[in-house]
Amino acid sequence: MKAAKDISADAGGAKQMNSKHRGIRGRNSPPLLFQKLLFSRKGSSYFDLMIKTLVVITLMATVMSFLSIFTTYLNLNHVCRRVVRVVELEGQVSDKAYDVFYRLKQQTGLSPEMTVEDVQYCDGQKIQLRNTFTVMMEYSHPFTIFTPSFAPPVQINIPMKVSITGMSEKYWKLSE
Amino acid sequence: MGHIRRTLQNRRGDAFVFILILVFFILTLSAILIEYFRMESLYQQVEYVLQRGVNASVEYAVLDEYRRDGYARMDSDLAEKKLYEYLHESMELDSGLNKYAGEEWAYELEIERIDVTDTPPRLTLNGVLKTRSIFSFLTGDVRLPFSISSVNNRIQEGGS
Repeated sequence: MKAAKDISADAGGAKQMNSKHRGIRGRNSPPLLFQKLLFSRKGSSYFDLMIKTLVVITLMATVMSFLSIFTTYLNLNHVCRRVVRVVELEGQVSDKAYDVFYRLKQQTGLSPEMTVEDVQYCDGQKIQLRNTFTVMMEYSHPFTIFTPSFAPPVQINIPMKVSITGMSEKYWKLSE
Repeated sequence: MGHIRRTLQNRRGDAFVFILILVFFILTLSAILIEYFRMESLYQQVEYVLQRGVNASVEYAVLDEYRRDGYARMDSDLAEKKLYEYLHESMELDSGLNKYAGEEWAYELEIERIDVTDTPPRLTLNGVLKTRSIFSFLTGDVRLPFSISSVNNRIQEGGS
């Protein structure tokens, strides 16, 4: 190596290159330290793990936010079922049924609209034994997609409808 | 003989066989779970509907003339008759107490015993819900016993 140093480059002697010329992209390549950092594979699995964790957390947050829709639907179903049971036992859409409805509305935080359909009333609001009726509840669930700090939350309303059929268990002896 | 031994000892394609076994296992497990929840749901539905029928029969058969005097008394024969009427008309069971969903057989009710008492007005229905599962070829029909009871003790007028 020492012998080669004394011979000119034309004569076949190798000359040590300036460090500026050694980059793979020539003169305009990034500084050596930055380049080293970019190409170094040390700790890459750590970054890999960080990104994967972020992705998993984001996915979990998305799934959990979607769960609220199902929870709301289940709650609506529960409210409807309870009201139907009260109407079945009472044999009419009585104050007791509305009491249960308002109490469940408070408990679940929902505000559905209730209608009673497919019913044949006798003597006022009475439903005769073994006559069927359908309670329908409609609710529009506001699903928040995201909440920016500088603007109102972006929401979509998901319409939900539950209808459950019941049968009166009350025998009304009607006057002739 | 040597050929069979060679085939048995050959390890080529064992990953494929392993995947097949795994898929079969997962599918069987899923089928068992789905069937279990289907049966559970069917049983609860039938039990709920039967309870309603038993309640309605007792409610209808309670004698008001006794209630007026502060007694709770029921016409047992009428209650039983109303129960069968409910089974056929409201539950839409045929004469053999079979339920069909469209053309397809869904389940059969086997009533073992109906205990009715006049005082207190009580009706207890004991029986078995017979249905089929996708594993019926192994286990036969599934039989789920039930016991449903209704009592009416209220003596105020218009009570149930």
